[in-house]
Amino acid sequence: MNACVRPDRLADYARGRLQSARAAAIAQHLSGCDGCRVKLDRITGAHRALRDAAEAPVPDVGSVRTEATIRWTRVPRQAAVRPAFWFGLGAAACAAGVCLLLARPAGVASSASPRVAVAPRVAPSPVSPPPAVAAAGESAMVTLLGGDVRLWRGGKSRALDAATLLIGGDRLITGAGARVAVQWGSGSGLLLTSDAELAFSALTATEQSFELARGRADLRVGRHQPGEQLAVRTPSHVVTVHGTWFTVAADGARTTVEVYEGVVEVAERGGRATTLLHAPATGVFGPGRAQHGPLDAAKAAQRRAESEVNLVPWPSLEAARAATALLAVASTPEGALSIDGVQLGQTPMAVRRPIGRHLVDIVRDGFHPLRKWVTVGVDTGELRMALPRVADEQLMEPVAVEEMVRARGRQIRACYERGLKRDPTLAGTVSLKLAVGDVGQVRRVSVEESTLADPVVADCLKHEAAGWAFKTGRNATVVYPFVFRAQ
Amino acid sequence: MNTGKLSVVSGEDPRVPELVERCQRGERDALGEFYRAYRGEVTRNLQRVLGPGRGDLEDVLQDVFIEAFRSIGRFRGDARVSTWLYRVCINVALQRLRKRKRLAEVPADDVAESVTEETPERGLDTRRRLGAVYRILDHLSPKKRIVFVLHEIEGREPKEIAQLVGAPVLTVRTRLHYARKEFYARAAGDPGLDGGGAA
Repeated sequence: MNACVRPDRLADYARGRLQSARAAAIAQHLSGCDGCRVKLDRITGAHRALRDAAEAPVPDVGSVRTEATIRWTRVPRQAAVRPAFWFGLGAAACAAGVCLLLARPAGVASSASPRVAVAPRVAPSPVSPPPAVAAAGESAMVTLLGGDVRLWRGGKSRALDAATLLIGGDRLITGAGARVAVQWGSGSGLLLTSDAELAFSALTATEQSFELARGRADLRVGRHQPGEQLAVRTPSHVVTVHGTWFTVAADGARTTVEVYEGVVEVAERGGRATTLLHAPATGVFGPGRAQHGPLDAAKAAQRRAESEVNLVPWPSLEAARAATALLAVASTPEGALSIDGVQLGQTPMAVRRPIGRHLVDIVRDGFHPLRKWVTVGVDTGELRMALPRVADEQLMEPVAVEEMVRARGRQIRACYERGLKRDPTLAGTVSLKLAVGDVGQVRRVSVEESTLADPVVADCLKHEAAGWAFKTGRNATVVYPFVFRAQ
Repeated sequence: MNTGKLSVVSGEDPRVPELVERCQRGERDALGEFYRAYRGEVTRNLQRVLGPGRGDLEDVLQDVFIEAFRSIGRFRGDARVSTWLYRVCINVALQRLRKRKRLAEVPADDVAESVTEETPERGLDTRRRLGAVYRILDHLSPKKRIVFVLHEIEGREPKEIAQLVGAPVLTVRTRLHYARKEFYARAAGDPGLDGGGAA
C-alpha cells in the first residue's frame, strides 16, 4: 500500500475494527510513512479523549433548581379522551355562551375602535353598557410591587400584598423608593412611584376615577367602550383621557402632566380653564395659569422607559389571573430588574407575568450582571440571586509568570522538543498573551508574536498555558516571551 | 467500556410506571422524585453531547425536565421511561447546539477540571485532548454530532441510535459515515491531540 491511509480508516485500524489483511497492509504502510504515523498518534489521542468523555464524572448540577423546576412546571392534563371531559367541555361551552349573552350589551360593537379624543365629561352616552352588568367584577390586579406600599381599605391600613385585588374606594400610599403597578382592563393600568398617594374613587367598566393627592402616577389607557371615561383628579386639576399614555404629578396646588401618546384634557377644578395636550407634550398647571409645550423626544423616551406599568393580556380579570402568576425576585445586593428586556425597577419586587418562560436581568454597577431564564408557572415562584462583585484588577507580577514557567518547564520544553524532531535547526521566540481571570485562572490564550518557523510549537504552548492558574494576580493580561534555541 | 447509559436494554425498576402515573396526575412529590431519580443520568448524557466545562449545562438540564414534565401526559408506556427521557434529552440538546451555531458561540478554550486523574500532569493532558475533541465536535453539524457522540462515545449501534433520534437507520448510517470522516480528518491534523499513542 503506497497511498496514505484515510483518517477514518486509521481510526478503524486503531480500534482493531479492520480485517487482518487490510490491517496488515496499513501496518506495512505505517512503517514507512511518518505523516500517517503522526496522524495515527493524534487519532489514538482522540480515542483516549472519547473514552475519557464517556467516563468523566458527572458534575453535581441542577440540585438547587429542583424546586424551581417543579414549582414552575405545569403538567398539562392527560390527552386521553374521557366522557367526563367531553361532558365538562360541553357544559363549559354552554356556560360561556350564556355568559356572553349576558355580558354583551345591546347595541355595542364587539370591538371598540381606539379613540384618541377627549371624552365628554357628561353622563355616559345611551349606548354605554348598563351599570348592573358593568359593575360585576370591576377590580384591579397588582402586576408589580416593590418596596413599602400600604393599602387603606375600610379605614384600616395594611401592607399591600401582590395577590390582593383592588376595588373602588381603596387608597394606596407608597413609601420612599417603592412602586406599585395595577391593571384594571385590557391595556389599561397605572404605575404609582415613590412617596405618592392615590385613591380609587370609582372603578367600573364605564368610569375609572382616581384622586392623586401627591406624588406621580403614570397611566396607560387601552381601548375604551363608547361612553367609558377615565379621569385623574389632583388637588387643583382634573385630567381626562381616552386611549393614551401619560403621567400626572401632583405637588400641592401645582399639577404637572406629560403626555407620551394620545390626547388628554386638563381642566382646573371648577371648570374655568381647559387645555388639550397632544402627545408628545408637557404642561405645568397652577391656580389660574398654565404653561405647556412639546416634550423633548429624548426625555419622552426616558420617561416611557421609567413608567412601565407591566400590563398583561386581559380578556377578563379571571382569565388574566388564571393566565398569569406572581414571580418574586430578590437579589443580594439590590439591583435594577428587567423582565423580557423591560425595566421594572429595583429588587426585591413581585411581578405578575404570563405563565411561560421569561428572561430576567438584574444589573448593578460594580457587580456582574445576572441573566436567567425562568419559567413562571401557576403558583407564585420565587427567584433569589446573588450578584457577584466585579473583582478589582490586581497587577500581575512578572515573578508569578516566571514561577509558573519554571514549574511547567518540562511540558514547555516538550513542546519545543517535538518541534526539534521535525526541524533540528528550529529556534526563535513565541510571545503568548494570557488573559487571567478573577480567580487567577487563564481565561484566554493567544499567540501575540512568533518567530518560530513551526506553528505547531506555538499551538502546543497555547494548549499548555490554557490550563494554568496563578496563585497571585487576577483580572490581568500578560504577554510573556518564550525564547527557544537548541543547545 | 462503561458507558453508564440509560437502561434502554436492561430491565426497568417496577416502581417506575407508578411514579410516571403520579407525575401525569401532576403530583408535586412525584415530579420531585422523578427529577432526583433521573437527574444524574440526564446530566451525564447532556455532558457527553454538549461537552464538559460549558456554562450552559444546568440551564439545558432544567429545560430537559421542563420539557419532560410538559409532555409526560402524552407518555403511553410504549417505550421505557428512560428511553423516552433520553429522546427528550437529545431533542433539547439538539436545540441547544443549533442555538450555539446560530449565536456563533465561541467554543470554550479550556475544559473545566471535571476529569480526575492521578497526577496533575496527566490531568492536564487529558483536559487538553478532551478540549481538542470537543472543539472538533463544535465544527460538526448538530445532527452529525449527536449521532457521532451516541456511536463513538456511548458505543450505541445505528439501529438503536435511529430509535433515539427518530430517523431511518440508513439516514443514521449516512450521518455517521460523514461525521466520522469529518471528525477524524480534523483530529489527524490537530496538534492538540499529540501524544495519544505514547501515553
